[in-house]
Amino acid sequence: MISLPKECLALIQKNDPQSQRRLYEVFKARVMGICRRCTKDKVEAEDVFQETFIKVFSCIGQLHDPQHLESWIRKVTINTAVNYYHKTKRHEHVAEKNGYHYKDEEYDLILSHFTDEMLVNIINQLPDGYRMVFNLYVIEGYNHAEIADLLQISETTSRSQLNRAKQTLKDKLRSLGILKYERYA
Amino acid sequence: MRNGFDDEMKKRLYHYSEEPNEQLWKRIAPLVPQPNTTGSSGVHTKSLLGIIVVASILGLTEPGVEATDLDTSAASSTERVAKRSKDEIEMGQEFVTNLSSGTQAHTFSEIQSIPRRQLETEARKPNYFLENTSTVNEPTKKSLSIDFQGSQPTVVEELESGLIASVTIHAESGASIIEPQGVNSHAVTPTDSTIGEKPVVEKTKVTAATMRELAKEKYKANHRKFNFYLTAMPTFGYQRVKSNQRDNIIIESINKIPAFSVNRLGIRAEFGVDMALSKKVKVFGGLVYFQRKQTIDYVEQVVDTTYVWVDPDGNINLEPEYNHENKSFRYEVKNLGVQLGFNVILKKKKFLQTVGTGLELQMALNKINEAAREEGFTNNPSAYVFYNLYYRLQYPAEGRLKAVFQPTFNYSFYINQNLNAPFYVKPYGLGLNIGCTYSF
Repeated sequence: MISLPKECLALIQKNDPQSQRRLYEVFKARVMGICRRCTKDKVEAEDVFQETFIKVFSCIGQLHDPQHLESWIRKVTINTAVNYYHKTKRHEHVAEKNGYHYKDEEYDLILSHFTDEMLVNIINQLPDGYRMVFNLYVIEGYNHAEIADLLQISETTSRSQLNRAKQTLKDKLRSLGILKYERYA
Repeated sequence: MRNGFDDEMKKRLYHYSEEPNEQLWKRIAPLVPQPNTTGSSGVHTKSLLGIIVVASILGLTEPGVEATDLDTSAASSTERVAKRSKDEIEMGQEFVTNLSSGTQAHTFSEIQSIPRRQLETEARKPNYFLENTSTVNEPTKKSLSIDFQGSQPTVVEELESGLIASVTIHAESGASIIEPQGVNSHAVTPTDSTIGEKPVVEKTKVTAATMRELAKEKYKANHRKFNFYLTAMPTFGYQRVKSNQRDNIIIESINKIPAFSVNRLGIRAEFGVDMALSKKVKVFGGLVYFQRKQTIDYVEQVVDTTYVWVDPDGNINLEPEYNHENKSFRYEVKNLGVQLGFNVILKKKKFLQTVGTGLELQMALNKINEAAREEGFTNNPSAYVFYNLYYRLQYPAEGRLKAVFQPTFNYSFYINQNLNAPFYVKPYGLGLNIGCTYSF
């Protein structure tokens, strides 16, 4: 958990440029990580990133406890990403795939072959809706009711999208994992 | 419900971080809220000063120049103004006039007030002419451009009469130095008497026609009209064999030999001259000598015995009994002929690449070999008409003497019928011509 001293927070709330820059430097990597996960590519991630920090500096006056700074910034980032998703939502038709259902235990070995960046790139390849639901549920820990509220969908849709997201992800991991696995075998 | 996969993904990606592009802060910083200092008149004073500085900078800078940092000091603005004045001083006392607009010649002081970009735009307009520097009536000129670079800007103009000249405006005297661009150049330098007056300018007539002549001569030097060529070609010969259906000889089979066998080897030599019809097309003609020897082995079906009997009805029956005989046919060609064709230049860089085609009429030089005929068949001397197709590579591309490398395909499509052979033979060949060409 990253937090800043209270005096620093106060300066940021007074829009002191140096303090703003310091906050940016401390949180930029984390915020970009979230943006990269939630968007399709680097370009979209940078747009969300920019909007996030503008919102952070604009609304930081609402934050009183510096202990909650990180989780607050995280929330702002997620909300910005969701808003971006709404703005740029692409209505993609994703064909139903009758893929195999593999046991989750099998993926431990496969996942161990991938770096975090590779995993993020694979998540980027998911359709927008799948990606958002997956990020919100699996990584950010939102429940389906909250996701439904955020994304303005039904809970049923959220569940089915999550299942499809995971299935698609597993298929991709599996196909890539096998190639990598054989290379090492 | 969460499972192992979900937990693993969360564990891996919850704290995933990635360094953003360093330029992003530059995009964000101007958009974040700026510091508030309330109750201080100093803020308003600073804002006003800032506005004044910005306005003065915008007024002094040229259009199209990007706004510099707001902290630009007054000293650097003054420097820019001073530099601009110096540039315009260097343009000279008199400048060009736009005939179409009918405006007068600008003096130096007037030039100073005109934005630089406008000066450049004006100079590119048609019907630009230099302010009259001669008492002689001059033809209307078309200016091409004004070169502002360097200490002596020049105006390059093309006169309607075909004069091509460049005029240098002397910075200090205001006189003009005209240098016609061509073979006969003649420069007029300003003298003391011309200072302060409009100098008389002499122009030599270097016309466009002269320039074209020069270009032609240069082209001729690079593209010599006549070239001799001399090449020799080892060639592999092939035949198309067609049986004679009226000679009562049955040929069962012909022995094949490998495609690139030494038995197929012959020689061709060519000597002639080619002439350029255009930049890319040449026609050639010359002599060709062709020699080849080959023995064709074949199996002939012969009648060994014929059984004859008379049946009870009195009919005479004949039943042949066949046998096979290995025979050979000696095929010899020794021809001299003439050729005519044309080639087209494909590419000319380091190598000169051409493709060509032509026709040949060849007459046999060899006589009937009676002794060989007694042993077996041998062909009669015959006339041939060949068709050629080739790709030629010459090195170097320019120069008098060039080496030639030329894969060639030739095919005979007419042969005199008196071959004295059990079959009809049409030779065709694939060869590699190696030689040289020499240009006059």
